[in-house]
Amino acid sequence: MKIKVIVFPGSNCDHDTERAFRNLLDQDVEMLWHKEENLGNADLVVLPGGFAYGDYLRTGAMARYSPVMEAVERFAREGGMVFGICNGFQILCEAGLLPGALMKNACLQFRSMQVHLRVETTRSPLTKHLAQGQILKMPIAHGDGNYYADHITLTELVDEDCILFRYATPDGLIIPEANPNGSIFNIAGICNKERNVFGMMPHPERACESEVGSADGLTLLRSLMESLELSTQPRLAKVASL
Amino acid sequence: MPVKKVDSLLADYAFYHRKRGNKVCHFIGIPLIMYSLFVLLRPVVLIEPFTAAELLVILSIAYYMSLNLKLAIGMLLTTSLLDFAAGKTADFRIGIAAMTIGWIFQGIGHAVYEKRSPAFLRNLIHLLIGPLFLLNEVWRVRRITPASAA
Repeated sequence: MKIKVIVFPGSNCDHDTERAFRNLLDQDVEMLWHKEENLGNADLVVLPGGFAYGDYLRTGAMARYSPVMEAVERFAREGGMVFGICNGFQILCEAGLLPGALMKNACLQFRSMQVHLRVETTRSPLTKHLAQGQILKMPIAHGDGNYYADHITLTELVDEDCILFRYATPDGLIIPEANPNGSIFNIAGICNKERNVFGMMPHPERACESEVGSADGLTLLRSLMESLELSTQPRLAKVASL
Repeated sequence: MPVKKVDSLLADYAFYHRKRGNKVCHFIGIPLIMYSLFVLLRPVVLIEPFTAAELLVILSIAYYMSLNLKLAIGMLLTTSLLDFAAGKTADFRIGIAAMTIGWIFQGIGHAVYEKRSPAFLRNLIHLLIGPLFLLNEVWRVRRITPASAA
């Protein structure tokens, strides 16, 4: 799989993301500077975590106008898979590729900790090979992870089964105590209606080896890779038959 | 305003019980299961005249009181009524039949209408939240939307 990791000025999880996909999942990864205007041949575009443009104005507000974002938006509208992690999620929301917004944490503090997520749907490439209700442990590190959507958007997210992950207790209870940032409905990750753009605040790329506290992130990324391989098989077969 | 635990739990339960058909099935299934539990626990006498059925009532009401007093009072009345009814018809065959029919309704609700697996598969606390959710649907003590669980 050809994976493009977009690097904005201020990205700081780009190399973690690269390492996870290249070293642990054996994928073809290319880092793409934000000034690029063309994505080239890509199966998946990843917007990594960090503090693009120093989070000036508002998280993701400037990054969404980076030259590369036009190509990312075009890629997404054509059905290409786009995955935003933390700051990447914020940028995707700012760009309008995902609904809702990420606000300052309700506690008004930067939160760096391990959290538990409950998988709410398996109807997405990211969660297709996981189990509904499965609990994943991975870290968060953000000051603006308080996901908000108005009532209509939230109802649509629920009705369209677009909520991928919610903050939960280790035994799967969705309660305020499990919510680290005040996100509405304990939402930690969502996808769009077309199910090709997804974003999440926790960092799966930082939870890929048990030595760092959890390898659940690798399970998640592996699920994404398996879904990608399945979705590109018909295309590869078509190319091979030409 | 801080979110109340009861709202979070009810909203999460509601998330898995959105279809009208599923709710109707639960309105039939859950009382049947509760009734059957009381019937089946009645023969287990702890201290005369109290049985394991009354212990179940006390423990569940204590949990409900930790969530919401008004709903807990409602649950006390409901469970006491079902326990009383179970005492009048204490036959384990009726209990097993009620339990089986109750779970069939639950299964139909999730498989046919909701098309999502039951919430209790994620956490057994949902087994206790089910009756509370139904009571709240009737009594509307708490206004439950996804936003109320923020």
